[in-house]
Amino acid sequence: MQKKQLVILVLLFFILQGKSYAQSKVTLSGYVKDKSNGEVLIGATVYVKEISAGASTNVYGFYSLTIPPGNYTFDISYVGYQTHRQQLQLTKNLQLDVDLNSESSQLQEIVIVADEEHDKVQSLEMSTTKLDIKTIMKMPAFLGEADIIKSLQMTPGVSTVGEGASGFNVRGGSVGQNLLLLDEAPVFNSSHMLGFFSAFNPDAVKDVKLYKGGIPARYGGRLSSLLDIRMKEGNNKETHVQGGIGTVFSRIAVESPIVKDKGSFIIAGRRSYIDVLAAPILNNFSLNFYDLTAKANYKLNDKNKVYLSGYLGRDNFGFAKGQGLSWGSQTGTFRWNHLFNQKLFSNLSVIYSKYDYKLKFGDNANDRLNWKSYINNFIVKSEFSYFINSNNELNFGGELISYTFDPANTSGKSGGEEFNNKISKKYGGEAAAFVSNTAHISKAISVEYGVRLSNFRYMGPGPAYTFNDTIRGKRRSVVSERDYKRGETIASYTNWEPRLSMNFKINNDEAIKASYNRTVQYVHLVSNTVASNPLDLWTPSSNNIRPQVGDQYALGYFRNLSNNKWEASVEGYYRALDNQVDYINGAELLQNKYLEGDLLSGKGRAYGLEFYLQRKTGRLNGWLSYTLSRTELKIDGINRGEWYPALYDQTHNFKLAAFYEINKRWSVSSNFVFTTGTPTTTPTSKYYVQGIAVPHNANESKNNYRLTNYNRLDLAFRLEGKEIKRNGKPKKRRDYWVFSVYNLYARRNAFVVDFKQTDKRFSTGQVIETEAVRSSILGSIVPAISYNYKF
Amino acid sequence: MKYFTLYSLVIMACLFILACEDVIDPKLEKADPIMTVDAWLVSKPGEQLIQLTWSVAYDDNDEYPPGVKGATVSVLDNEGKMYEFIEDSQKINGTYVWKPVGSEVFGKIGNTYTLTINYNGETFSATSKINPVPAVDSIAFEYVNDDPMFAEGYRAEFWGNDLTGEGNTYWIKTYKNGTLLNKPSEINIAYDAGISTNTQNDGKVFLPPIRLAINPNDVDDNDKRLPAYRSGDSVYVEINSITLSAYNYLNEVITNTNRQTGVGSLFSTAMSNVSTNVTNNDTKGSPVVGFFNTAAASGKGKKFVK
Repeated sequence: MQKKQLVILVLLFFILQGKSYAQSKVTLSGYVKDKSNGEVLIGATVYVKEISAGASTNVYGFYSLTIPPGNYTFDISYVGYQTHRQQLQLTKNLQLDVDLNSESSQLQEIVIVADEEHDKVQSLEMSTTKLDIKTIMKMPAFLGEADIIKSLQMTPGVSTVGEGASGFNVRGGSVGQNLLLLDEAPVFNSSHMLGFFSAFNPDAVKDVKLYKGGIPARYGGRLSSLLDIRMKEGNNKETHVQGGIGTVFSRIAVESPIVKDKGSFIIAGRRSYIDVLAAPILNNFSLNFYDLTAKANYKLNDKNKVYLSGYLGRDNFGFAKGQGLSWGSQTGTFRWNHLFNQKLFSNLSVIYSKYDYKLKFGDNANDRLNWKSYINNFIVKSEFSYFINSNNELNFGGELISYTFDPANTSGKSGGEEFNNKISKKYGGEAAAFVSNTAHISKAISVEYGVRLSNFRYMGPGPAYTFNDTIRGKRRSVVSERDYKRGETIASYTNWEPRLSMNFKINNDEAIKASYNRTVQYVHLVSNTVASNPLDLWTPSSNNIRPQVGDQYALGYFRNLSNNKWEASVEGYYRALDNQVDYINGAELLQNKYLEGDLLSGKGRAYGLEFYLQRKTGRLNGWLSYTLSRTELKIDGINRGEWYPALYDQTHNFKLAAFYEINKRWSVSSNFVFTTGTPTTTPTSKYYVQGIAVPHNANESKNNYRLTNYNRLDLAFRLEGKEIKRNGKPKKRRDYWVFSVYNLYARRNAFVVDFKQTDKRFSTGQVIETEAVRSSILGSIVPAISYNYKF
Repeated sequence: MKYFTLYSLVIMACLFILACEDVIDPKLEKADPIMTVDAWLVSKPGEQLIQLTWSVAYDDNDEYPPGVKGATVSVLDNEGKMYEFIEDSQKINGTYVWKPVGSEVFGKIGNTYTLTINYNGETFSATSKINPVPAVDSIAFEYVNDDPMFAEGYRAEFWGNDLTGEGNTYWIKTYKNGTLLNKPSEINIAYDAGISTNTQNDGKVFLPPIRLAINPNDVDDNDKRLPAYRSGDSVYVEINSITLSAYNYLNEVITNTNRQTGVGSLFSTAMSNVSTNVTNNDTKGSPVVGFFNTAAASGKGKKFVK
């Protein structure tokens, strides 16, 4: 079967490309940038009117267009920028770099929101969401802090299990099934302060794109989605400072040329200051986080450009003198863009990424404990784009990843005696090769087809365990253990991941798109808590855990209305998931070297319909999104072996985001969210054991109860600072205030319901009172003010 | 682990005052009562009790679980000694009692025990073993005023060593002024000297979270923590050697009964059924829940005088 797939693919490549080889052609290529700051524009289009051919810039702002020689009119355009038109007599290969002017600031306020590659009808992609940073900055946010991930949660198919929960869920996927790439470096935990804020500083981010389906072959490693975050490169014309002072933290970003027009950098930092302000009342407690994002780029010559980017973020939560919990991520990416010729673009990336947490208990010299855990990644990735002609773009390359997992490393002293407990580190290696072609077969039909071949090796040094499987759904015990040498393969998996996207254009305003993709995930986020939290562990596929495999089929209808003022789409998807992880009752996930014995594996399925309507222009703009969906799991030993709703199953998910410009200085924005409550398990009965009332579901049901519906309204007012000084001169510093209110009608949205004894002390023979307690993470209205500036 | 999260959660809860809790009345699924076996026998002088009850609806706060009437209950050890447990209607619902004759004491370290219950034509059984138990060496009282886990005042700490040999499991029960501390948050169990399986604390001094978990979790009407011990209070610490499966069982009980609400729920897991070591000999027969454990015991008491 797999060999057959390969043969078919190879044939396809030749069939679809063959027709355009014969003619003599010339190539126009170059970069498209923002004129004001030199930032490259991702997804800008170069369109040749005469022959209706075009190309768009890749993530490095590069385009290449190969067409027959001739006299043409080129339109180079990008959302929010003035279209640049140029006449060219094209007789030989030519390099054309274009700087686009952004539209005037008044017009800029009528910003196009949640857009994707200009026009959803024209582009090949489906199931993607591209969020404009300006839109993110305008949306009402918790405590007034613009947040990339919370903003994404306002778009179709994306959800969360509640406030304070870290991460997000895409089309019925768990938090650990999203690949988050910050300048290509995987980020294993995307949250600050549990899940109240996300780890990405919007001041340093240029472009955010979420792939919910139709994931290109060059990406892999997670089942559900890809969130591709690209950092700003930094202004290469002049120095700028921007930042903000908010309720929880302050931000500052500096960008400047290194050598004008050749290289630039940006450094952006944030730090919270609750702990500083509240120090007098907090005693020995502390709670803070910070992050630092930096990037530099330098153009060596016309053919070579290098980038260096890094991220460092940390949360510190101290609950007593010298004791506490801290966690954070570090990433570093070095990239080298090399242009072999006008048609062959390449990029080589070397990436490092680490997530770790530390716990410290006891400040006594004789009694203390340090507990550490981490996961790290070392990646080398090479990608090539071969712009064959205006109808075909071939992408190919490969990736090597090494993983190290340190599940728990504890040391300390008890009663003066030292102890040291380590769970063996685990090692993994992932290798992948991919090839894909984007082909415009006819005016109406375009296809992107490709395949990714991936392999994962779980390897030594370290022990590997074999477990028995006595009773389904119960803890498995170790039957044998074997020690492996360094580099020795313990388990190895290879998978073909075919990817396919198609666009059938009905006319200029309507298109039908379809996609299929298989994704494979070799590392698993192990978490049985309602919300993912900083202590969650990543663990590799092994001789006991098989890689997760997902197949997604999607079909969509896209339409532009009233001359592109409105955009509408409907997408349906079906996902079949294999080797999904769940847990035995009473699973011990932390500090357990036999963790694998506590994991269960089964099937999943998710399907849904996503409706989206967006008004793109006008003083009142915004969007409306509704998702009807179901996500279920079927795992032996859980819920009598029958299908049950996953924790993140949401039948209805309705969202409204609206932006209104009141006058030149005031604007208002609002969010409304309504979702079906999270499913949870309730007991039927209770029984007494040793004076404790134990809850029990005698029907063995799982997630049989729905919390009450979630709904929330947020509002934000934005006041632009005066642009002109009293003496009539324009101000150099631009600034604005944001006044926001989160959870305007102070609804106590349920996060969980706990079944517990009341806090009384019950004596033998006495009825033990029990109760159901609903907890809301944010049970009240949360107002905030922030001040933002740029100069 | 549980103690650690508890640490952080209590503090979190204080900091995030925005979180809130409401007692609600959800509609629950109905189910038939299930037989519950509560058999935790301790090898020490005196009578031994086994309680057999029927589970009640979770939202029923009026009725004490009704007793299982007319069962025959016995415990047999591997040397062939039989202990008969006789239903005693004088005691609380469903209590079955074994009364020693003369100076007889239940159980012997190293022996294995099989519980057999015959009820309504069905036979339920479970096995356990009596493991050795280490001594409580000493108990100390200490004044604290800057520990987030304790109110200002005196707290108690016991000292003792895990027995040599990996995988000893204990339940440390505390009696304050003669009353067993039996809130879900007060269950104190140890794996060797530590609080987690798979860590190597064999033969060591019990770790601080265990030594200190002999203090009551009591709050006043304003939810403010009360000092653990005052002058005149007495404390008695009893270590029970429990089986590994009893240790796992109690861990599950803790997870499902010692619930973190408010912001703490960010770390909580949904409820799940607690396992049992009691089985119906007919696998298709009536379900059963609860636990059978046999333990050896050691203890020490101290009266606190300032």
